Amino acid sequence: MTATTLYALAGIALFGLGLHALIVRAHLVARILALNVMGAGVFMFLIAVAARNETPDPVPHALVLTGIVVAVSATALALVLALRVQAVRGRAGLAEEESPDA
Amino acid sequence: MTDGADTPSLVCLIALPLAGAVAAFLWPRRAPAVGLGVAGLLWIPVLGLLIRLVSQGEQQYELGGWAVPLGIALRADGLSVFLVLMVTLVGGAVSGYATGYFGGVCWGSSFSSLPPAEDGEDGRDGGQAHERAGFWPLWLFLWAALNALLLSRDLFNLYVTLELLGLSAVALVALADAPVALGAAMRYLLVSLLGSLAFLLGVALVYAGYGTLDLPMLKAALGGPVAPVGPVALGLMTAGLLMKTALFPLHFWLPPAHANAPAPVSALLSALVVKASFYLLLRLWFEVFAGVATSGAMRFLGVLGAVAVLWGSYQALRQPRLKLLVAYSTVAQLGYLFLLFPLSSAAAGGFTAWAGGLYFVLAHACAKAVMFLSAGSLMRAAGHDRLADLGRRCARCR
Repeated sequence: MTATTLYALAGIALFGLGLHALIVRAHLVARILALNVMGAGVFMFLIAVAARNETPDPVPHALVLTGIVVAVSATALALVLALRVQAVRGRAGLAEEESPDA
Repeated sequence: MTDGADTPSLVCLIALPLAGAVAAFLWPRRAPAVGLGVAGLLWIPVLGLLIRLVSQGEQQYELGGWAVPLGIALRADGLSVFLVLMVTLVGGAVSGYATGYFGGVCWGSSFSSLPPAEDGEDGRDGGQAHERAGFWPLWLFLWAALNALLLSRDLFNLYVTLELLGLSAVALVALADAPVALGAAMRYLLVSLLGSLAFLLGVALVYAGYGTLDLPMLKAALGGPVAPVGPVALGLMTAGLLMKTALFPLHFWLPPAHANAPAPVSALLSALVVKASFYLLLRLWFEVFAGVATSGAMRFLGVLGAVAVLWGSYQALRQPRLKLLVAYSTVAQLGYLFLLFPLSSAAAGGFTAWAGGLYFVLAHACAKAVMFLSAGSLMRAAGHDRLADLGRRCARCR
């Protein structure tokens, strides 16, 4: 197993870990972090793809840079929204109480 | 194929709403005028593009003058232009309604003489100015993202436009600053980000397997024997897009998000935003990955669509509130759209299924927008949207 494959597999594993946390955690900040971990997993996979050949491939690097910008904006919006949810509901969680006819 | 003369239409379709969004943010008091101006001006590039498409065929523009393997191209074919026309039509109508809705004037003769909304359930009393200030920039950003998504032919570009679309849609839902709406917006955001990340992982796999992100080049690369990475990538991208299109059983986030947003936002989300991810599914399944998609997988999507029709309609009938009823009806109607997948692969009726499916997309966009806008006006008039009491209240306001 080469180092690149290891990195690619670790990226996929990070994606899975994040997905698991996103589903089982209730606290909103934990869920937002889980999404970030998933994103980091994808970025790691892309970097491993870029390092496959002798000369690094610049395209995945550009994708990762753009992806980081998108992830930062999404995280900012998510954190602001989570703060607002906590301010209005008294806790940062989405319980299943959200029956549509509330 | 590249033609310098088509530059204005394709670029204007994205740049105009984007510029409008910035202007609406900088001059909030002029925002409704800016919004209506953009909605009107957009018809010029849209009609120009339509004429050019009919006379010259598919249009392409290479951004920055860089050719495709290196640069990113915008392309417009019949499907894209059809949907851009739909967005311009419905978006224009909703913009007109929104000038009245957020301006505090209701469409209709006697609404303004009614007492103000009595129950603060939707938190609308103090939130008027807040909603008005936020709506126009966010809606114009959403419009730019929609047009960019419909005209892009590069997988990573499509991911970025999907993300822009999702973020502005979530922010629009959160404009209704009520506890229920904020919870719904948060859930929508988490689902939307999860969907985008699944799509992005699919994109990464595509690049790892085929070394290109341009859809036509990818289609050519996929022409050979199918590598195992193809179905996995298509599966991941499809899972992400199904989440955003709210196909049963991934529809759970849609009714609360669509029902608790301000009326023009509900209309835009139900009529246009869910169609964008559906369009991407069509593009991927029938154009790019046509050799990878099996008829069994198509049938599976069709079955999910059929269940969505039944479940969504059943839930719609059980709802105590008008806007939730309309939102569940969206879940059901989206199910009908997915019947297109098994039907179009049937040897006999392929073209009929396509024509019918696209006509249904247009019909649903128009009908659902009007449904939500009417529901919004009723809600303004009555102060609530509980179905049991609406009849009595509206009989009084005649």
